[in-house]
Amino acid sequence: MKNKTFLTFTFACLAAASCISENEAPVVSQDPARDEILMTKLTGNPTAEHMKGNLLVFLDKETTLRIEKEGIGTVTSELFAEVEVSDFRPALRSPKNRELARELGLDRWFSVSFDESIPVHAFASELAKRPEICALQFNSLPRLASDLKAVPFSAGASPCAAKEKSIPFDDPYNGDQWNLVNIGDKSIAKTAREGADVGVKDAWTLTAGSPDVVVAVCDAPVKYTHPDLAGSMWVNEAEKNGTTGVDDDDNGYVDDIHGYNFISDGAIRWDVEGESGHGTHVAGIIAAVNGNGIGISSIAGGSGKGDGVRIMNCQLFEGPNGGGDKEMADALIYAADNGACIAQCSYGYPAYIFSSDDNYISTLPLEYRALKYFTDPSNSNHPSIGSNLVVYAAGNEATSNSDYPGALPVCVSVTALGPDFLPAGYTNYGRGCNIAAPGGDFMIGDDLDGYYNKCMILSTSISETVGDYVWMEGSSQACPHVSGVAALGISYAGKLGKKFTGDQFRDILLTSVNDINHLLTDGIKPYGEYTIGLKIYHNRMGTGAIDAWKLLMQIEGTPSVMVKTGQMCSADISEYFGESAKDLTYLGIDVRTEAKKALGLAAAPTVEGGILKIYCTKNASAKITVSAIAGGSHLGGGDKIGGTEIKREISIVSRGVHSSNGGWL
Amino acid sequence: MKRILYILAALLLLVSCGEKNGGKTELTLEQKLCTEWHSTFLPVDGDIYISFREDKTFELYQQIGQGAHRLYRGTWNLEETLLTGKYNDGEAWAAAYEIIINDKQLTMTSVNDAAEESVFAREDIPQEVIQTCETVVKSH
Repeated sequence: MKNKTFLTFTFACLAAASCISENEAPVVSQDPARDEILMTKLTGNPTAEHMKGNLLVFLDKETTLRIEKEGIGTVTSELFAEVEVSDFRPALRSPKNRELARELGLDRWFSVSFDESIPVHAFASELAKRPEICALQFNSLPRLASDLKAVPFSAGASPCAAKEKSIPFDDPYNGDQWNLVNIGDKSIAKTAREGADVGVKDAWTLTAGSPDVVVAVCDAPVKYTHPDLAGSMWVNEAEKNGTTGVDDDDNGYVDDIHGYNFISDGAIRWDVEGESGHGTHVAGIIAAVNGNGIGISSIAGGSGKGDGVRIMNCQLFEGPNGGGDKEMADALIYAADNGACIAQCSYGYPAYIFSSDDNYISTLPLEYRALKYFTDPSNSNHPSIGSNLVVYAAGNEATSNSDYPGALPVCVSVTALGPDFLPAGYTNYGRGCNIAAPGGDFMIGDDLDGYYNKCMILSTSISETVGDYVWMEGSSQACPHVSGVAALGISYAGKLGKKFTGDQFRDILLTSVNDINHLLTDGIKPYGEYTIGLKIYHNRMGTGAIDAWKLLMQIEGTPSVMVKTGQMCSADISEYFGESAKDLTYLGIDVRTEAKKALGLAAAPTVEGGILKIYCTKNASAKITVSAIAGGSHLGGGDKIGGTEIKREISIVSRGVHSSNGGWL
Repeated sequence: MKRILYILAALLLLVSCGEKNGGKTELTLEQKLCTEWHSTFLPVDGDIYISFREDKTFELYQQIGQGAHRLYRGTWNLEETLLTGKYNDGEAWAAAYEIIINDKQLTMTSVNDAAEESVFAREDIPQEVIQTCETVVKSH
């Protein structure tokens, strides 16, 4: 009976949540079995872990206006006449883009704190009776997408140290960074595969980053004094040169020199017992300083001239404690308001918590709105990208859904690969997953020689707790590979003076991939004492494995597809959609009337298996737009979890002369 | 004496005119072709450099659409005014071309399709194009 009630309650909450529109308060959904008022207003998921002694409330417009005019004190005493609250304040500090914040209703969210001994449900029931409160949300607690296992690196203990240097920087440990350049070294794993990396070696000849690209690492603390990271930290000069304890730049945050600690509301700190080093590890993958003669190399850590991308730290975890939905939202808004163009987020809510995009959006409306704030074009923080990019880890539950919020189309969700280019045993895959990257896979290592840790990812960490350099694994580690490559891409676009809309950039990022589907057939991979069948991952790891060189090439531009006039032509479009083009699900082709006329199309072009079929009757050039799904065979959104729509504009050149190899003559 | 001077002057004039018009031997069409060319007119938007070499090889740097120039290599053959060729991957050119070289301008017209006329001017291939081009693997 107890279970039945619980299930009914859960179902009712989910049903109530799914009825909430994007920007408005929840609408009524009744369940006679429970407190009707609570059911109509509750937006949190009571099955998810949530913060004790805290609730988020969404007020009506009139009350919000009153607070603005009369101050929060008067309204507080009225609203909470029947209950005792220890704190009541706006959930978010003052977002800079007030107009957008208001449009998204961010100004109407408030945080209520109360005695932790009172059950949150009971307190929510009481608050729900107030007509001014349109919605209540549990402050849900996401978790880091890693098992937090950190194995200290021991310099010189591995045979890799002596092997031929394959990375062009003098950082002594980079011989162990297969994730950057994988030469198929069998001392890593018998199944290590050459080229199973992020394809960054050649990309470094074009760019190794740019200081005007700021990546917000929303995570555990980044040890900004780490000798391999200090030179890559974003610096808030006003705070650095200001007075301690004073909000020198008047941005609402005191002493936020390299970012902000949203847990203890102050300076970033990594001295708390139980600190995992997770955030510092993630930061090192993106931007550990290259060519400084110490430690490791990184994807976008510059060329040794202080020219790498910059890391801003939004600290959301502190030792064993993590922030809730409110802190995540606050961090995204801070990142948007203070110059980050990429939000790197290796945390999430486990895949089994949410049943669809709508379910997430209505359950955690505050965080969703913060994501919209971060990615709104009006908050773009780099001239080469029209809106900021959000990258999330897909999660480590080995299930066929991405964690949320990564599964949302507005985010890029990253699955994890091992040095064998195969899915890591822990990685989530399938619905909502967009792209794959190295995340490490401890279980495939050859532990006979004691070098099995090398199948994980080597990066920076915290000497006070786990060591200056450690091995870790997870989609948490895969995620910063994509953020790092994206940062490299934005750096290169800036160098070339190119501009992309946010969607365009995300689409070329998701199509800058190497194919892994050809490996995901009937075979198996060893996994400790077990084996894993690979077929289940086929076409479910996203579009493919991220490749930095391909991204830079797409940023330079993609050559036209040349076809012969007067006959049906088949053209490979993998230059536009990546090596996995043959396995993508295509949604259609948009041909504008002018293009149709110019090319004299005899019939509508089609695309299947990565091959465009087109019949032009006139010599001309024109553009068509092909749409596909990044990640799986159906789109997400609404009541589904699924892939993201990607669009590529393809330039068609139709000539009377045509060589199959694309040569002009 | 005056008459001798006139004759000498006339001879000098003839000599200098002779040098101007062909003191060097007139170049053959093939010799004229063997240099580096840059497109000035193409039937579609694009940018092409071609180097025809005396050893009958060519290098074609083409940018049709966006991105770096792409390098194709191969061999060529000229019979009278008809230029044909083959890429290094074994594929023959899609057409044979009638060529005309006037002064420093090369005009190539496909024998299959008169609309396929491309015009090139004599110009060295920039080092930047050579250094940043992508080689088309198939034509190695």
